[in-house]
Amino acid sequence: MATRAILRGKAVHGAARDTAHEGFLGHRHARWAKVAAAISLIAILAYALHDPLPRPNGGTWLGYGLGSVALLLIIWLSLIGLRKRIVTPRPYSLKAWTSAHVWLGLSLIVIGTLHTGFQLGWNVHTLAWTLMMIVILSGLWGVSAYTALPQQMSANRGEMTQPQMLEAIRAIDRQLDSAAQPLGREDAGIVRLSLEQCDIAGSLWQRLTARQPACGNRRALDSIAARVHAQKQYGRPDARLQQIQFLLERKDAALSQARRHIRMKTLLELWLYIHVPMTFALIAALAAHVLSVFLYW
Amino acid sequence: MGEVYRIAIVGSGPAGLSAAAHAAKLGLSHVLLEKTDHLSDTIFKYQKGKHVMATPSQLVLRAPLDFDAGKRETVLGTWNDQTAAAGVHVRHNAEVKAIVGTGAPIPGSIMKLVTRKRDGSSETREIQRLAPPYRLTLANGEDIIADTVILAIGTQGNPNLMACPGGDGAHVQYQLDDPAMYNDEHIFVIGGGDAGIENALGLAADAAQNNAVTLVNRGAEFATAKDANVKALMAAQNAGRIAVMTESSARSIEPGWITLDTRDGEVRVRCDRVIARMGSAPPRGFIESCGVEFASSDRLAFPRLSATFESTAPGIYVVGALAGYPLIKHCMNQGNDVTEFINGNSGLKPADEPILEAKFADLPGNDSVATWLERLRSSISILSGMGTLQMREFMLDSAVSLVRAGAVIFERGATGSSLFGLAQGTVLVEVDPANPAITVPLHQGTIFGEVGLISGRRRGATVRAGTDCIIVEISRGAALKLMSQVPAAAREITRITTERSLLQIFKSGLTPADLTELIAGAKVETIRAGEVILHEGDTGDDIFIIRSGSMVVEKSIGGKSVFLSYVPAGSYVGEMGVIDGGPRTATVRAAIKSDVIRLAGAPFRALLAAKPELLVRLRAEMTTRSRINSYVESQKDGFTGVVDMYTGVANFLVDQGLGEATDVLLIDEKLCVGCDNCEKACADSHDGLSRLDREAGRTYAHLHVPTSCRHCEHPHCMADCPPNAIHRGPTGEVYIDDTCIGCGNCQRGCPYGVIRMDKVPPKKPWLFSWLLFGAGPGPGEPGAKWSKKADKAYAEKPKKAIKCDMCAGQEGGPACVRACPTGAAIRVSPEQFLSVSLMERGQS
Amino acid sequence: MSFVIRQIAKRADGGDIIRTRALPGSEITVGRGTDCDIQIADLGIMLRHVRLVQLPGGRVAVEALGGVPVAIDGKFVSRADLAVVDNPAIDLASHRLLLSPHEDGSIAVTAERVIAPVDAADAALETGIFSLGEAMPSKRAMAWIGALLVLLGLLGWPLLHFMGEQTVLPGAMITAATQPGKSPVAVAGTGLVAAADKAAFTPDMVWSTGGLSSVHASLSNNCGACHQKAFVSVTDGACQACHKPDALPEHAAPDRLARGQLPETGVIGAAHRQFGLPAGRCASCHREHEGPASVTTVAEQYCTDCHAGLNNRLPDTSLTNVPDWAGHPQFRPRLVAQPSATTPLFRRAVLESTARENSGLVYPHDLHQLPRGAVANMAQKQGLKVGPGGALGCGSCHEPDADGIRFRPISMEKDCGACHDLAFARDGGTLRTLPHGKPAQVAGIIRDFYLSRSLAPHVDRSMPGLQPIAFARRAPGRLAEAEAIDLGLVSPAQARGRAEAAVAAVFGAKGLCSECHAISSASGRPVVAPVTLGDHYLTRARFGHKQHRIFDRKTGDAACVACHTSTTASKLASDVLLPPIATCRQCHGAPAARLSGGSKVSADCNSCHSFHQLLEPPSLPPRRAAFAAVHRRAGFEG
Repeated sequence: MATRAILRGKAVHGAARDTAHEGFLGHRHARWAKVAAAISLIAILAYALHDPLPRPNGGTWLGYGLGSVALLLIIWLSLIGLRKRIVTPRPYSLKAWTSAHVWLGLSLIVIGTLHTGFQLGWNVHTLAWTLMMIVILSGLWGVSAYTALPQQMSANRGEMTQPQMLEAIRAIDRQLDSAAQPLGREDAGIVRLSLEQCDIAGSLWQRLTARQPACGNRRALDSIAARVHAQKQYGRPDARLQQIQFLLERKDAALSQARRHIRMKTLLELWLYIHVPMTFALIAALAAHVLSVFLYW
Repeated sequence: MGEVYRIAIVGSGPAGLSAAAHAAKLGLSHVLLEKTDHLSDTIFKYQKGKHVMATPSQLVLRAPLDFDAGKRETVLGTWNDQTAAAGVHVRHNAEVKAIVGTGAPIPGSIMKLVTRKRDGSSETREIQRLAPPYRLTLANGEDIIADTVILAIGTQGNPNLMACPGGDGAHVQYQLDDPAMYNDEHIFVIGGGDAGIENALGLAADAAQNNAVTLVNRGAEFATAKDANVKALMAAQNAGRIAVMTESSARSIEPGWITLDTRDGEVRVRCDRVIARMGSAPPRGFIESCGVEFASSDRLAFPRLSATFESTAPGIYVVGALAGYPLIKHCMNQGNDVTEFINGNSGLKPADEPILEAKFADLPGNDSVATWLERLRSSISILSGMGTLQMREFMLDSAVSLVRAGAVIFERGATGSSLFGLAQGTVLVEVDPANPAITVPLHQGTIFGEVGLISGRRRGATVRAGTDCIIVEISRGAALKLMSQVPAAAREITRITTERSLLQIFKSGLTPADLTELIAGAKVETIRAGEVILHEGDTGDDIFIIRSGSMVVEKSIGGKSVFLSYVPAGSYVGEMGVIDGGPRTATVRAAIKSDVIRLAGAPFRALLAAKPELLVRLRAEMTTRSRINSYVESQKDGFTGVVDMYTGVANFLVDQGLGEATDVLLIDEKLCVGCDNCEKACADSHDGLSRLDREAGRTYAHLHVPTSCRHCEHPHCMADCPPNAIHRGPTGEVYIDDTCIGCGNCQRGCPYGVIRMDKVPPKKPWLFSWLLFGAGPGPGEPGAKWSKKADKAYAEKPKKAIKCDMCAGQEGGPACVRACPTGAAIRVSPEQFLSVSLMERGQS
Repeated sequence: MSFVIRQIAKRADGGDIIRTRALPGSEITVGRGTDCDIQIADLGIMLRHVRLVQLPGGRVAVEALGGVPVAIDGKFVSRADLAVVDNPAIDLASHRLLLSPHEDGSIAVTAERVIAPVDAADAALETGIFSLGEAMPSKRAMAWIGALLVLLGLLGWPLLHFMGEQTVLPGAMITAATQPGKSPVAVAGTGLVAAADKAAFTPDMVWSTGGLSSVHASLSNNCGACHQKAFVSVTDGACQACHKPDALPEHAAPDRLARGQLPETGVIGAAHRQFGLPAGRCASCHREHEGPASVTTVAEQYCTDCHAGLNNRLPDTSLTNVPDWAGHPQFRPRLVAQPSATTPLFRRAVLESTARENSGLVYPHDLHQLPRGAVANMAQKQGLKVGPGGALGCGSCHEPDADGIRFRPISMEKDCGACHDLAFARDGGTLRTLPHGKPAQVAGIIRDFYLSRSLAPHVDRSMPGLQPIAFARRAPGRLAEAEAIDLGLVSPAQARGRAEAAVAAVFGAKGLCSECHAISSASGRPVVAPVTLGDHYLTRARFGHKQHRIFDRKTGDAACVACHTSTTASKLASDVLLPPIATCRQCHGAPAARLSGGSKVSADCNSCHSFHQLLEPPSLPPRRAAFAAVHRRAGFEG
């Protein structure tokens, strides 16, 4: 007790943190961008100055050098998947990792390509290079998405959370359901379109376009609107139908907000579906590449 | 007139039960009076299957009834069986209305009874205490005569009743045990507090029950309810699940119908059931009317008791929560002890004796606990006003220690809201950060560390032991309790704080002597959030020292009020008025509920005249401030938008509680890609439970304040924690230790909804087995579904309060920030963020 | 006669809410409408969906009102007559009506929802739809598939093939490889590599790092042919399977070759030793998988590696160090030191202005190159090749050989005879000519001529048959004729004496032969020296004259003279008219700027030298041997 009391008086200061307010691209005044640029420059110079026999390729000492660097880089870059998921108590900054990941990844374009000595063909070696380029390009796509989309996304969702979006739609559904109870078979059927045949997210394409022409709600809204309009021709339209129409319109709004959100989330994730699997294919290809090169030396 | 009981026990909570059971064991004639039809109502009302904890663990249980941590049902079951077995004489539905002595008037024992009314006026009644035996009058008019009375009625009190005609009807109830009990009913919930709203929501939650629920609120706003609850209520109203009637009140109730006064006149509607949740009156009034005196008029005050729990009314004993012991174990022990006392066993040592002995163990001279308590009380000024029992209780959550000469007690910049009492020896305060040699001695009997207590900020100076001293460290909780119970102590502390904060702020060799006049005129005022203390352009020369809370300084530029700066506790405003005498140059309003010390201008000017160097200091301060002004002004010409944005963001953040925050998580939604890695990291670094909800929370100009703990200066969650499980850690984090009993008070108390009650999920499979083969739920917090599948016992696990601990003990600092891949998440203190740097951010 | 209706609602937390009420009367309606006795809030149901009428005998008539049939134990009917005792079930959309007998003859109708409503799902659990995972195959699966495909297809399959592979070398290639000196490109032209294009696919082809050279193209689906052991670099053995060592002569004696090599040092050397890749293997010069021409284009460095500092390692070598083309030493042509019919002596000397050779011939190039004058006129008269200036063309004597690399040997009859004919008298239409290279016959012919003159009965000046030989050059017979005319030979003895004198004169120092031949009079009497013409000066190089036909935009003789500049001034056959190496450097390895032609000309070693061909000079043609022999005999006899 006593000891603890005294100990409590120590002026302990929390771990130093990165309170700097800058994105991952410009982390620490774009430190990694500079590093990557330097590496690429060195590689290019070395390639230009070194005149191997009979022509540059992966088999010269520079070739082996670039190759090893590239290989190690690729392994390290792929490790971000672990770093992201293993939360260790020791200090680290995933932001810094991402920064390095992006920039060094880009420098790999230079290193990897110089390693090939521009000898491309239909073989496992060029496959590895191609996969590497695919991974890097998809990564570029991801970076662009990461820079462009978040702002829109936050603007679109306002302060609404995902469960809230869903709950909003559900709530309207419940209201629709009760509002439709007194309706006749036909009108009820239309409402059921909205209730039962309305998929919020849908297929990949629908997610990307954020549009579902065949969405039950839209169809219901159209036909109900048509009916209300028709009724307006002769006298007062059915108040219940107007209520339904109002609800359907609200649901339509809610749906499109959710779908816009989904669209952006999709764009933020889609590139990973190329980036990650390709990375593993790449690692496999590298294994084949390295092994085969020394098998058939 | 039936038999005269030896003991009448009022209230069958843990304390009452164990008292009665013990009495039964001792064969004393006794009666246990329970106002409901079941024992131990408070615990009975816990939700089904709630896990009841048994803390403090080091306290031995000595009671005739068994008690161990477990499910509500088990606990109650045991008690019911064992009370029955012990042959306790219980009377259900016996609510005591009055307790009056039947003996002769006790000479000189007259009690002043002050009752305050709504309008603030108060009337004073005098009660002449009469000697025992006491007559206990029950609600049904019956009388019970007993020599001694044990009051164990807890603090719950009685619900406020429906005053309107028919309010006593059968279908009017004051609590809702199980919302699922009622179907197809028109139910009116009266009262817009949290209880009322939660009941209403519960009743309307399930459409299948087909209840027509209406919530009736007297006011137009739901002032007393928590934000989250109000939101939920509004949502339910929009969804058409609940009807809400504001500015309405019940006029009359009859079977099947209710008549309400609404803004648009009187309405009569169908009503099968009325649930009245209009708050409850604390039992104080009743207890005082029995002749039991309270320590002070403060809301938190407890009855003044002797070491044997005897109140100021001879023969009336008070135990349990009412005596200030909220924990079940305490209550049961006291029930046991008090019966012993009544039975004449005066030598009995309280159950907490060993704990106290431990506290005094490593002090010189192995004196008894009693001696030590007495010594401390007599030596430390602020403790003088306390009774023995209070001292015991007080010591339970305080620490006493011997500090060798020269040892540092606390350092400048250390966190800690505890108060120190100097029982023996002298300590040295290093007033000058630059030169530790300059010290101010404090002598035996005084206190120190009070600034930390009051402002909730880090220690302002390092304190060393001048000689070997014996120091009592009074935890914040204990200190607050003390201040509420011993008004003298409260006054003393306030005086000292004022003096010391003056000395600390205007250093430059002032002595307490210089300040006497100033302090004499000083007033401590409490400012509501948003209230203005200085109006721009006003004349006035008062100076304000912010004791707790914080202020924002605004200036109206071109008709718009522009955020200038954020003033934390411990600093002062308004000095310009004194020095230049001109009108106020800016408006100052409270960011949150704050305490300020108002110093009159005149004496202050005198002081300045006497102490020119002070004037110099102040001028220096002023220039920096006016620099900020001019900077903002200059910006104004250039970037109107920027300044507006800056002001907007600043105000938004203040609204979001940065005013009282010490460390808040901010997310820049220009960078946040919504990967929720922050949440995952949080969960994975805190046994699988995330302490933050990234998505929820307010956003302004793409600056998002997620639901995550702000580590307030005066944490609301600490306010009412029965086991005292919430503390501020050395790095300033507010954390909950594992003595949490899962009562949920902190969750209810937190205005930002950052505390959740949850169970620790089972351990996840190895990360790689997920990475490679998708085994388990993957990183982050596992869903309840998986937890249930993975661990059969999960459903039974107790829920505990979960909150951010700022990743204390992790070298890397907050995991959420470390794990943010894009740098969107940052954790900052308001001073760091609410500065002009914010404006640069706006520009970039 | 009444119904007891039990409507069961599910509570969110799972419990049931059962609402029971009794309806008097023998008939109830079920539907969504508020006016129905059993109201079911389900849009799938009509406002008034079905009517139940209680019939005597515990039976119930079911009648669908809206025309929408109801399902009774699975069958869709619009009306039915049911016995209550066997608890029939009527399905309406999501709900089910269960009929069962109730006390005192009333019927219990239990209405319960059997299909959960669509929006029953908990929104919180559905947040999954926001993540793309719902619409895509899992990344994990894709990663596995991709990785496995690559590993199996591009590592496992070829590996299996490699292990089970029997390599058979295409015979055509082996034969092609054994043809010495055949330029690989030529081989590439032949059909035997065309096979490669149609070669069947084999899995380990995907390991090829690049196109094979055209010569090896037909091995491109036959990796095992060269890559015989795993993790072992291609061995010389693999190459020599086709390229038999005897077909490719040693570059030098193996031990000298070994000693001559530059030992590898530094990291790379260490690495090579580490991985068993010694220098001097075929593969260390011949890099395969570098495209069509790769294997035969061997870079200069591979030569200079050894030849730069060769004398340090081979002190006794005759070769000068060659650091690189710029540092290539001056030519050391093989010059004829002493002509001989059988064993001429050659000597290599640095090509300098002082360099001379002794071919035993007399030939002033300058004279023959004059654009006008006797030679030119003669050439024109004779209709020989003449250059644009009218001078005698180089080509009239120097005729390229088949390869266009060197020149056919000079022969007197072909190259000189046209002008230097040995006719000496016309006699009644017959032209008397001395044979070349046959001294004995020459002597004989002259003797006969004089003799015949002496025996002639009388000499008639206007004798038609006898005319003076009509070309400017003095024909050999003239003197004798004159004598024959002037002082009529009367006695054969006298004629013999004259004849001997004439023979001596022909072979003599000033005699006819001496015009072209060096005459040695070592033995007291003049003898025609033997002739040896150097026909291969740069013995270790190959200079393709053909490629240089057009040089610096000059053609024909101009082109020749452009390099062999000293020819026009050369008065002596002993001049060495080879251009110095500087002349080559004007183009080869010269910066493109200096070339009017534009592009830089290669300075590869193997544009002149060849590693595997030593280019020894061919042995002397037998003809000369005879010639020399004859002269000697003549000398002794004459």
